[in-house]
Amino acid sequence: MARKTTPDPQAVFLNVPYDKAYEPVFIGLVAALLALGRKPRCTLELKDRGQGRPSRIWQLLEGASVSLHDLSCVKPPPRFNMPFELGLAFALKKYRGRHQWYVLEDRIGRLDRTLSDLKGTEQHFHHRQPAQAISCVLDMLGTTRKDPDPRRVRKLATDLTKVAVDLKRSYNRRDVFYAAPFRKFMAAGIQLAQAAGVIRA
Amino acid sequence: MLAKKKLTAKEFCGKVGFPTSRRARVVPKMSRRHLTKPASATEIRDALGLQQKDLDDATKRLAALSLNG
Repeated sequence: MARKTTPDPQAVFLNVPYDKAYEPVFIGLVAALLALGRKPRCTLELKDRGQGRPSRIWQLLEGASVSLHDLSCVKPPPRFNMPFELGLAFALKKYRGRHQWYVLEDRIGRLDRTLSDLKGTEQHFHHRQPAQAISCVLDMLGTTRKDPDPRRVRKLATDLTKVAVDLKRSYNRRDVFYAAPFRKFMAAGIQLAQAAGVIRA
Repeated sequence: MLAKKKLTAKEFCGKVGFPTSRRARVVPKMSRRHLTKPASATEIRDALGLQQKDLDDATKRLAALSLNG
């Protein structure tokens, strides 16, 4: 039987589409999570050690106390990864109880048609805008004290966008959703957040 | 020597300065559950398994982009 992993209270699993059009929203989410002192985790950091992708996703999800699921990628061909991982998070919450999951969407009312089982679940709308994505994260995970100023978080996202442009040029990639540029992107993001004074060393 | 008087919960709260009403005691405890201590840069780096070469690259890249604060 698989061993239970204790969830890291600061880890947040990002279940989002790895798509060029989604990159600005992703940058906003990462900037806001770093500014809150959370650890953004996603499947890009996983190395395949032969146990298969679903097992690795489960391991990451189990190790995070919170997961964010973006269900806005419904263009044809539809991507089923995000609903699948949301299902895993739902099961984790149901049977282990120590997990919080949140749903992100792009358009108001669409989820009621695409995934009507979640009717009544609170959704957070980013409208494909990084600034809105930042507000969503601050709404979901912010506290009433010591929250970073949203303007500083937006500045962090702007700087991270410049880093992403440079990384894509270096690696000759269309987006940062590849293991090597992603590691460098995260390393730069942490340094920027530290330099901006939103997280401690 | 006199035996030490055992304090009631209410007396103890009053002595150490805790709020004594049930509402005042319970509400902050509930809200504390939602407060997660922010991670430090080192903790985030360790969790993500970033290596020294990634950090060195980030330092150089941020300097080249004049983003190093």
